[in-house]
Amino acid sequence: MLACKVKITINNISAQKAQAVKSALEPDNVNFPENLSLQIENVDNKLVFIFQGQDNMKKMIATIDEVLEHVQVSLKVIE
Amino acid sequence: MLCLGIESTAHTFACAVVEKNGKIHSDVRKIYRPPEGEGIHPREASRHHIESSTKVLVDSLQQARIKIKDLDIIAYAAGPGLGPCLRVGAVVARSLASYYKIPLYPVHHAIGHIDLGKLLTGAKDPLVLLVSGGHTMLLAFMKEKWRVFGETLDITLGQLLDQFGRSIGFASPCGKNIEELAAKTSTYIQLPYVVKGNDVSFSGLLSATKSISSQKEKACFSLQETAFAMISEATERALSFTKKKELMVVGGVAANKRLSNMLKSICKRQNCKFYVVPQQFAGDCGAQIAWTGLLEATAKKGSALENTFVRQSWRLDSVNINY
Repeated sequence: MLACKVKITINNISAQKAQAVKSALEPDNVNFPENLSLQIENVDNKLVFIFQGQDNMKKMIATIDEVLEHVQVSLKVIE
Repeated sequence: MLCLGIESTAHTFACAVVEKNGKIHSDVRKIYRPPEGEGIHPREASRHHIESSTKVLVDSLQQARIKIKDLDIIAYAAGPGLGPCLRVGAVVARSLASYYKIPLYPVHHAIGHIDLGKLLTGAKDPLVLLVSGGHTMLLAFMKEKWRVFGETLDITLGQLLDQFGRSIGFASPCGKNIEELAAKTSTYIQLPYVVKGNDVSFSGLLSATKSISSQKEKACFSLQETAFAMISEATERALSFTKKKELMVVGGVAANKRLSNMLKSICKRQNCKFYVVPQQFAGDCGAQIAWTGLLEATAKKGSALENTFVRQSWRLDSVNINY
């Protein structure tokens, strides 16, 4: 069985912006594919995304891709 | 009171600013065009929306001559639609609502078509024919809900036109191309006509039309005549049953002149007024979402951010309307 954990950290982000991005993404963090999870943490000046998946790496990569696109669009529109 | 409406259910990413008095201050859209002969790929469409979102938003605010902080509420299309596309609009809406502390309203896309249609046409209590890529429904309002008086049993009228159009090489949306080709002939080829009760079925009609697609103009003409006659029959029966004195057509297919002409003749027979949404606002747009958001704001407070989901499947007749 292949298990994978991916941690992505966005540094130097204000607490207000980090909270806006977290609030924008979290409601969609439901009905994830089986064996795939996403945790979003807002700590200090960092926004941390922790993806954990098993077996199906394609799904995990596609999810990371979509989440990062959403982070990008979220930051762009509030700026 | 000003509302920003964000639409992203399918191929269109749109933003509009609308005022409580019904004035549409801005209406900006970008439409994803798949390659000719191909349908909408949800992830490709969502990537288009991501790339377009900032510019559409900025252009919309500039056209309305306002800043984000001038907005009183934000509304977004929460469904039904394509999951990846819906999520882009929702992320944009939630980001703005969270960062600028603006109340947020998730809106049903199809109810937006109806509400905007009523605003623009002045219809008061119409029987509604909603014909688009996502819906084919006959609706009448009763006891806080839009009730269904007939609908498609399989594909929608918009899907029928798009799927046939793509099979002869057009890119979605294909309704305008089909209408133009159909206008070049009046030779009808017999095609399956399926009305069951007050519901319609288009999938057999699609297959049969594809089988005569080598005669493009005749196929387009026959397809339109058959499909529109089916929907007109169901509409006339619903008018007779509900005794409504107004018929309003909304949705992307409402832009088709041949459909309007058939429905006008029905209204004449049934002694009822005919309204069709202006062509500019027949397709998906931010104004429909903004206007429904404004109407909802008269009856309830904005949703908590954590409850602002998207719903790919969302029956129109399951939505309670309190405004």
